Amino acid sequence: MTITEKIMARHSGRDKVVPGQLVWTNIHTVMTMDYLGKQTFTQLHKLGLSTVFDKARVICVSDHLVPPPTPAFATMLNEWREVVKAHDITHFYDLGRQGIAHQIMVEQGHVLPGTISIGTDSHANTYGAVGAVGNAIGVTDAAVAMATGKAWFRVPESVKFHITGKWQPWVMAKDLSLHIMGMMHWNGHLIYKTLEFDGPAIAELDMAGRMTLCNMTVDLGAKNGIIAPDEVTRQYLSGRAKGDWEMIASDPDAHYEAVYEVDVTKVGPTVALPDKLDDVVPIEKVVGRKFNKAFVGTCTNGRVEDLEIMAKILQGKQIHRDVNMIIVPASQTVYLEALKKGYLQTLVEAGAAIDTPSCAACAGIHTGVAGDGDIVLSAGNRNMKGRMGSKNAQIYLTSPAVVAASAVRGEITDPRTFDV
Amino acid sequence: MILQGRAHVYGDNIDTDRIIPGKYTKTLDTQSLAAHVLEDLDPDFRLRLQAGDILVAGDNFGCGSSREQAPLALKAAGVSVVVARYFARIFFRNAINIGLPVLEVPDHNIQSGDALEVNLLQGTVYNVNKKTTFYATRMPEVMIAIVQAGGLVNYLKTHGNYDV
Repeated sequence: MTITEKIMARHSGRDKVVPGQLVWTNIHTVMTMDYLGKQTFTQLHKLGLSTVFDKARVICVSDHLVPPPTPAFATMLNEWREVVKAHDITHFYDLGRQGIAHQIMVEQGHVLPGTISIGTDSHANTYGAVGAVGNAIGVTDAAVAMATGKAWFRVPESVKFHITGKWQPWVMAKDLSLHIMGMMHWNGHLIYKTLEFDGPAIAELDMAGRMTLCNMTVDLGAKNGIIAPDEVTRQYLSGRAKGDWEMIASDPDAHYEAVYEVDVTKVGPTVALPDKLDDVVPIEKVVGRKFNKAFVGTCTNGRVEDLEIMAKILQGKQIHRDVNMIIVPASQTVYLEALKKGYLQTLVEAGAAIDTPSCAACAGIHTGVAGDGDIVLSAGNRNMKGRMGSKNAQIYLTSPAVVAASAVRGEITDPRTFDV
Repeated sequence: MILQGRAHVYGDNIDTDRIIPGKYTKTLDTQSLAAHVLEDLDPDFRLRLQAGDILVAGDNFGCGSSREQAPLALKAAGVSVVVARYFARIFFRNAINIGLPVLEVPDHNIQSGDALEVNLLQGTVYNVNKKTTFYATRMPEVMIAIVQAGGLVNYLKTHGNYDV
């Protein structure tokens, strides 16, 4: 069995599962957040229940609406806080201790290798970075899981991406992620599948990069993305994991519906063109294009490692006068670490605005949204029309390194040609 | 379970923002969701839609966010079933969980305005105008049972167990 099949078998009390099978599995943690959380609890009450299956395994996070920009959001947050407190939830990451839910789930050790965690936001696939099955679900699924500690799944077919070669300077996991997007397209081949990443280039990847890679598997249409736990995972989880866990990996004779090999040596900085995620080009094709907004943050690229590479590029430089840059650390923990390491100082000195950890403009409903005519160079995860606000804005997606180098010149710039 | 209605045909990659824009999703109130369903894609959709009509789409229907309001808005507006070449997975499971039937039909010649008869149990779509039948990927029985119960909440209340 593959790692995902093993996890689904283990948590549905079976020795073996096969793709296509429907199973009810035990859920390790259920995440819900401010934006959909009250609705999730409302669904729970519709089941006729007033308590959750385990107060320490329902994780509540304020991320989409904090700090509230409108009285309506402030009111929603108040209602959300009321319901979380009424249920006496153990882990409530509210404004002041907040972060983007997926970052919180991994960084605070609520996701363990070999288990299944779900969340009411599409990028819950991020949890696969530590070798868990991370899955996005709706509020009804979440409510049922909160009530019972279980969810139904169709066991997915496994597709493997074997990543070889050496990472080139200034090339990040985001570039690989976009490269795979361009390689596979939205042709339906990956819908409902589990994407497993392995190989020497994955072994070298830090946890931040693994999170980026697994995070964007949802945008490939996959059910989940997963990287088997290894020494990097063990070190990352040491002192964080809220619970015991064991190493788990795919069997040598596991069946894959398809295996793709990618030599990362040949992957350079990569850009998705406005409106369509799979409209992906190597950066050379778009160098010199002008933009006026730069955005780095989100559950895809708002981690310390992302801010570190930006600080390296922007050290002693000035962001172009025609570019407004907003940087949003993915959590308060990330914010504090970037502050202590001096990255935030470097970024502010270069002319970037640092915003409070939240989903910010990524979903088009919070601070820093795009207006008519804006051209945004973003290190986020989606670029559909209207995603960040106005339908009349264009969004390019790329890595934090590309955003940083480009912001200095005011036009899309290959960080490999940039004088650091 | 046979569903009859007229087809409203749209294209590929219709995302959840186009099904129900994020700004309207602060609620699970079905009537206000229904009022704005598909409004950015087709402002006249609501005016043409008759209760029981069938939405037909291409690839990757419902991609994007995990918002359950997307299938809920379609159901509340009166859509009886969504037929697509294939669905984005979160939309697919949300639709089942709230009791909106979804059927994957890999190939069809359905045009807007065609009268359709969908048989969920058999997994067929009959185009009355063109007198042709299309075969769908069949949903497992438990999924049909959840849809027939009106969604997962009602299903669990009635069945009280998790056998699949």
